[in-house]
Amino acid sequence: MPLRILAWIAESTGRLAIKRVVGLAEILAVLLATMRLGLSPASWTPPVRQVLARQLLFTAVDSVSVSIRFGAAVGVLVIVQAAMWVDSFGINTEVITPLLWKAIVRELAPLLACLVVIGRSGVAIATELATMRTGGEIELLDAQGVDPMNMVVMPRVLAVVISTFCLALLIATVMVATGYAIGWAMDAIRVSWRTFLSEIAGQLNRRDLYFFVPKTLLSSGFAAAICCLDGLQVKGSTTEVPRVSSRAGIRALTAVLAVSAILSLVIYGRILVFQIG
Amino acid sequence: MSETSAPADAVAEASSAPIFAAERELLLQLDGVRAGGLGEGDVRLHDVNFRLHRGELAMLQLDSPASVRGVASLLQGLRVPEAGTLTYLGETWTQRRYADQDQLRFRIGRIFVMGAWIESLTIRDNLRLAPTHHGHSIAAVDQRVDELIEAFPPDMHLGGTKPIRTRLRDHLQQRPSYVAATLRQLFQWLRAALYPRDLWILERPDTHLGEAALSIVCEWMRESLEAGAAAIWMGPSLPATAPAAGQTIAIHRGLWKRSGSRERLR
Repeated sequence: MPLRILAWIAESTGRLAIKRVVGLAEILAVLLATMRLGLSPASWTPPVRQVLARQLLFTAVDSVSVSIRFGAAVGVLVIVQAAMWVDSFGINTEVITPLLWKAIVRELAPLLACLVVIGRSGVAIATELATMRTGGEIELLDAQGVDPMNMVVMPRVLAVVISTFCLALLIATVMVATGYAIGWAMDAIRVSWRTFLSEIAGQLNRRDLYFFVPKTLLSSGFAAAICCLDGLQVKGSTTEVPRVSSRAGIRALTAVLAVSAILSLVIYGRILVFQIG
Repeated sequence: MSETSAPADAVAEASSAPIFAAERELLLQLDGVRAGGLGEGDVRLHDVNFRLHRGELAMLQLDSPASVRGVASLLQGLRVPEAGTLTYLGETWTQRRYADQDQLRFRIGRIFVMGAWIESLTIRDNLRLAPTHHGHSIAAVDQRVDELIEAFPPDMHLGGTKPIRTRLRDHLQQRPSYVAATLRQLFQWLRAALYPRDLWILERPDTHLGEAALSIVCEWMRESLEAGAAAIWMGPSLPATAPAAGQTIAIHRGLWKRSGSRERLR
């Protein structure tokens, strides 16, 4: 009996592991195909450029106001916490500023940008593609000699990646500006804006860029690929679309957090505050 | 899903002669093709053998309406047969590069029984989509659309108060779901006739259309056949204005049977 239980556990674990590996391989295949198609000038036909432009408009431009609101709100939260540390532990601004900057650049801005993009566009992409799939529109494209990977997936993944990077920069800037404004109003920051900025600029090192750029690009790439894949893999009728969309959103969010954790490990040798080794 | 029964006797009359009597290039060839999942309820084909040459019109009578789209997609290489070989212009679809497959599919004019439009685009953008993706200019597409609309007589009406020409032009800017079924079907024919084709795959192409409209669109197909294309008409019967079918095949319970014969094609 225990042997049978052990066999069942091994089988279930193995099946789950294979499923995860296949899922990861599919995501990587979509990302590689996107890169290959994106680098080929022949892929950029007028309809493909139009899809990219529309997706950029929807994902980046239309998300500017919500990103500013998110950035401002989180900037206030962060600076209030910082003010509390100043009060509780007697820490001065020189200590707080680099901590704030690193928290914003390394973790918060990319994560918030991914949240905005997944919430606004990722779920919408999954819904749109699932609706296209169930309505026969993907097959329609294929039947007319239009590769759905080129026309539907590639421009959307690229638009999401570009948009997330731009929004992460915007959010980081808004967080810093809001943080300074609120901190100055609360008398938690007592230096001029120029000094504050130069202190922040002094904190910027190459490793932060190594972290910010790949984290933003990879996380958003994974999120976009998952949303596209989930949308295109829908089976059955349109009643399946809402279920697929919500699942895509959760999977994309999980992937963003997982990619962040793995990059933290690789680049800093840490996960959050815990030193490895 | 149970397949709709259609007795072999219901198969159309003996096949007429194809447009060209001379030996023509073989376009499509199915040898022992077996395929499943072609429609709701897992409609299947069993050991199908079939030849289609340039200039020839073949008529397929399917006993299961749900399988029309699946069979059309199989012929276009969008579904892979479980067994046997499906050859298009001398090679199987899977032997070709993806880019070549797309080029060949662009030269297949297809009328879809359902899901014929990208719903988020207007009819005009739908018509422009594939040609502009394959390097044709928007101006050339629009000009060709205009030429095809001009083929309808100025005083011809298909319901509504305005002549069909005006209605077609008016509805180019509409999204498909806002366009009447008759006009959508005419736009499908128009899309199929936009560019020179090697093959026409027509899934119930006479749906919603009367004899007057059919005579015009069938003329487009006739011209294409005379220019060397082939056509597969999927439906219960051919309209009087259509070119004569070179072969008529009934698909009953997954088996293909030639018209006027009970011989199974294997």
